[in-house]
Amino acid sequence: MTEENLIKACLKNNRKAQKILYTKYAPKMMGICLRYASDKEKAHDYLQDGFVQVFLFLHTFEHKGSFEGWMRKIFVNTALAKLRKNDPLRETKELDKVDLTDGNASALSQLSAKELIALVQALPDGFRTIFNLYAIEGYSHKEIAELLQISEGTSRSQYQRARGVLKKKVQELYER
Amino acid sequence: MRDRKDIDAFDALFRSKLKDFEEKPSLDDWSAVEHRLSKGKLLPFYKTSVFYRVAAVVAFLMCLSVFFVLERERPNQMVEVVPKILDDRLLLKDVEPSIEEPLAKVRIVRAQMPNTADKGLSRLAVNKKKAVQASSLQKVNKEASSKAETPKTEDSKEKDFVLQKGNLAPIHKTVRYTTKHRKAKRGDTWKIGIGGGSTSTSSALTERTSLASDPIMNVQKVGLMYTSRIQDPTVSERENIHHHRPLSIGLSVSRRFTQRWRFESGIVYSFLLSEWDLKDSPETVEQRLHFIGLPLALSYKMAEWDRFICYTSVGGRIDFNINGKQTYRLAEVQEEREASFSIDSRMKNVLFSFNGKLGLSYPIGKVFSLYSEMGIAYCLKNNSEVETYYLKHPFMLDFNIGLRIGL
Repeated sequence: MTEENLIKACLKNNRKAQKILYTKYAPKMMGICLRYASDKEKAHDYLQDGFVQVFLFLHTFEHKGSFEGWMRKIFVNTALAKLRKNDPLRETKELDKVDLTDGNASALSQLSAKELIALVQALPDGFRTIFNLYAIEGYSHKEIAELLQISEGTSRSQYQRARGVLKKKVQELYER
Repeated sequence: MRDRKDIDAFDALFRSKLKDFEEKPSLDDWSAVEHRLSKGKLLPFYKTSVFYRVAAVVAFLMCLSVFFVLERERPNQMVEVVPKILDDRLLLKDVEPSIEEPLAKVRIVRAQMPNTADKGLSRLAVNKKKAVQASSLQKVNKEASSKAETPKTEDSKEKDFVLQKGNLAPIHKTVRYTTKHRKAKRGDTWKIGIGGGSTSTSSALTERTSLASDPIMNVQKVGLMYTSRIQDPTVSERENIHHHRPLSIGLSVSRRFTQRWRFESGIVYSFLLSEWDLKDSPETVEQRLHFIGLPLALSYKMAEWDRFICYTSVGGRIDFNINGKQTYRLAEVQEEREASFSIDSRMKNVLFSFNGKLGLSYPIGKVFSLYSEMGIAYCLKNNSEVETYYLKHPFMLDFNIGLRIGL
């Protein structure tokens, strides 16, 4: 079954087609959710919320871009909507004294994806969100500012702090 | 989006490792998504197929009609009591003419009373019948005693006065204790010692009086007396039988297999209480039966309003009688004392029943839901000698309220 036919079947509320679509994309979407969530339990919540949104708004997909790209946006927006409720920018004070010196790049390359995910998850919500959007998703600070309704300066400073924390933790992990 | 040249080595490394990172979700995630998708879509009643709409309306009307039929049946059963008593009165006319007037009053008052008073009145009438019988026997005894030229005691004088006056209240008072007293005394297993009162009635009462004089032997003797009555049905002919509606409490588990259909099962505890009198003897019997039922049903979701779900179901149930007891009581109201004896009356055969229900459920959290059901049930005969509400009213109206665990 082609992706287009699968989407059509999903639009008819065919449960089997929906499950096939879910099985196909769930691992990738889970990866996104794990990056935005502070723990695995929340990641599962984001995943479920994201797929419910995907099936509810599937009729808005216009078949112009990639379906996976469209789904990623849905999942990122779902995670952001959840994070907005917590007002992530409040959680920056405790990390004001972060050392922003560059870490060892070779140390980073030796860490596994799961270890990196764990490091990202350990960041405060605001740092983690902006780091994800800027460093991994490729959003500009202007786009992030609009998306999160904060100033560009706040986005920049949060990103720099997030980097600093991550570099320090990568170094610590490498030295063990 | 930014240009690629803006991304430094640190970000690039994170990006390369995490951008397409995948992890297998848990099995529960799809179930949760599926559950939420089906919950999100409301199923209005008008979108249900015509067949199910008609079936739902018919089921609802049947439930209502059964309810009204059952409600009407009750006063009719009570009406049968009075003509019977009036027949008895005619038979005893020669023996006790003075009793006619209050009986006539009973009939008139009964006609003016609302249905709710029927039960009490019928019992009053039955008590009156017993009083009439007692008075006839007393008259025979009186004649015998006058032949023997023995002087009357204070008690017997008072008794004569009561019967000749035909006063309802004293007559009611001299008869053994009623349902009201039975309820008040419930929970007391043994109470030994029976007062004098009527000294001029049947041999059973004479035996009872003699038992009262020896409290230690009372239990054994009363027990033997009742056992003999139970074993011989001709001796213990029942009358004034009242089966209370069963009380049930249960835990239901359901498993959805399509958007509208689901299986239901669970466990139900039922308590059945029955009461009756033994004809021409002073005992009253209370039967308590405890059942554990295993239901199995197929349920169809007809419609949703907000979070309420309207459904209909058909199924069956197997009930096992785990415990049963018949308590025989003997007492005199005047003395406020009684004697009782219990025997095991567990029903060995299982009870099979079929039912159709119309229900409404409301979810509490993700797993639990409160439900209320109304329906009709039919209980198959199981050739048991133990008489219950189920077997006496095989076609009955069923109301259920409970908590359901949805899987």
